[in-house]
Amino acid sequence: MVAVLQDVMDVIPHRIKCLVVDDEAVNRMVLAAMLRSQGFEIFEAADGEQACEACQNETPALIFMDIMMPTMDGFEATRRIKELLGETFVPVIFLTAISDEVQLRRCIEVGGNDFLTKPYSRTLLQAKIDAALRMRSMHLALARQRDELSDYQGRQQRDLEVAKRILDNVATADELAVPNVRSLLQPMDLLNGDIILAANRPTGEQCFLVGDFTGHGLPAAIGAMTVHGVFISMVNKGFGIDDIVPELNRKMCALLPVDRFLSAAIIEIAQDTGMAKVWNGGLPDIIVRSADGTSVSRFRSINLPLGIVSPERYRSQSVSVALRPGDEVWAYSDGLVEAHNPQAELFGNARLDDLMAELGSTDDRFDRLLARLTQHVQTAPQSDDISILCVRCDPQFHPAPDRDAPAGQVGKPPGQWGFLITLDAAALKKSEPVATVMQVMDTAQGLGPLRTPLFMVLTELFSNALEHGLLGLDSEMKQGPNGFAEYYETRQQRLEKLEGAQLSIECRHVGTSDGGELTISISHTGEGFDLSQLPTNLEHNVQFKGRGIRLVRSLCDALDYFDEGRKAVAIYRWSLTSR
Amino acid sequence: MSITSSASVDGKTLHIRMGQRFDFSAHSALRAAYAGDRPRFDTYIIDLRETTYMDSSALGMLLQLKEFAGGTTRSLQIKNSNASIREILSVANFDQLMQID
Repeated sequence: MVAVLQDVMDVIPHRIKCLVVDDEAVNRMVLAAMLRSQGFEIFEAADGEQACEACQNETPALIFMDIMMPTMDGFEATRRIKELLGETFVPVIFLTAISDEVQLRRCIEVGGNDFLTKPYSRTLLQAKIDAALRMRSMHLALARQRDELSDYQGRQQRDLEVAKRILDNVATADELAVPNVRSLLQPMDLLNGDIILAANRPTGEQCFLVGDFTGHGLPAAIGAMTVHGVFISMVNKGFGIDDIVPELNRKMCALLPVDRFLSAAIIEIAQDTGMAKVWNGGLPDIIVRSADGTSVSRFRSINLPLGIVSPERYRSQSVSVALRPGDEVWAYSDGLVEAHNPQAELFGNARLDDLMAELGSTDDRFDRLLARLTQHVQTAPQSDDISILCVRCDPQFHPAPDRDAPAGQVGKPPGQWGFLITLDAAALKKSEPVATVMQVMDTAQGLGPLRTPLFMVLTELFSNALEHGLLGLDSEMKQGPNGFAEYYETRQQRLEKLEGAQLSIECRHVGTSDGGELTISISHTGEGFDLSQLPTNLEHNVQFKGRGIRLVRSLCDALDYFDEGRKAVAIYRWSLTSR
Repeated sequence: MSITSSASVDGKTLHIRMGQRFDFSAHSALRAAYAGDRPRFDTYIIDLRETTYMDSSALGMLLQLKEFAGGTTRSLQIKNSNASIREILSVANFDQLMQID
């Protein structure tokens, strides 16, 4: 600012044009001579009307104005000139014989900037000129800065709008526009610091992420793009919460500065069984509401938000929940409970509790929540982004396969490849290897349309080997009213205690003239089963029992058991033309 | 925003008392309180007895201070937080990162 002002002052003396307005030629001459001697350029007007005309032709930098003049006086001329010049600032100094205070006051009222009574001293006049020019240069500097600022703001606004469009494209998932899901994302600024993501695993589980970045605007939006990329692609590849969370944390640690992080809730629901997993790191409680509204469970944040502690020190814990048809899972950012009204009263948890206790459909409840939020907030400005997600357990709903599922072709020519992965008890506790095995095969072959069926085959064979072979679980358990919940609870308990076990997955692929043959063998060191039972099981297939094996049979060309049932070998043939 | 800080007699601890609002407006004052040309301390205490409001940018500032203080859980202590502020710290599981009394 100071520097700018200095520039303008330096340039001034030799180029500045002054308009001298006085009906007395002598007065004009005296003043003009003095100003010219200082290097100003002068043009003159003999009355107010002439002064207005002169200003229409050329804008002076400074005007000296007499008051009493024929046709139009100095007051009226000043008023008109100021109107004519609009935002362009031209100081007007009244030079007058009048010393009446009321009249002098009027000089300022009509838009004049200063006055000096005649006869004036040169020194005083000089001081007034300096002051007026300084004022003018400040105005010029301000106007320039204002224009630069508004240019900048315009550019910034356009950039933000483009960023918003990109972010909206990313955030608008088809997976959120399904009958059993409702969601709201209400940003406080143009760009959202909250995100809601949804994707389906190849085996049909719906996965959701509700996230809240510290801060808003551009940094949060950039972070959101990364989270989106990691989450969607990992879910589509079949990874679950326990693999996704560490990866998100790693990415956020690498990306975000120390004082920024991502609070998030992640929900994974298998609609056919009602088994859900929830993970909460820094968001308000995830709520699970029973279908009849009589039971509401809260899942508190038990994890650190993402992007704070380094990957090697990060510990993450998810919780399994068994849902019944009609149960709802709610996740939301703190912007909801902390939304305040003009009296600074928060929306609060109590209103949310009341809502959960009320009857009605999920849609009703969601709409009621939005209506109450609007009613509560009234005219108060929004001070944080608000996001709300509600997912209903609905066994009738079958999520569409992931949209990234590549249709069309296998990516690479049928090749010869293979690998063996062996996991001990510790490795089995840490994560499920199916998605990783899929990754390796995808790298080797470029699975394309084979991905979904192969994922299912692997998942079933792996679950059978782990759950029935190593953990000794009986599928019959799944059949009671709380069957699935008990089954998965026992699974978890036994897995934690598992010791000295081993599970191997071997994949061998050979190319044929028009396709390939993949052999998947999964073996374990646990209990086998009576192979003679197998055909009977398949024929008398009750709803859940043996379902996995039947599915594998229907997808594969062959499925055989060896080593008293401890080793399953599936053969999957594909051809370049028919699949 | 009034932030006051005082060093312990043995020069090992810096005690920083935050004002009523602990949000982005406190950023430069807090930073000046510990980062200025002061010597380093073993322990930094953030005293929240007067603080009635805290937002997520404050959590970010605590992480910055923790990193400055050396990154160990013991190097940063939060004292005298009221119930609502304790809740914010607890939802973010900050008790895993710093000592909260």
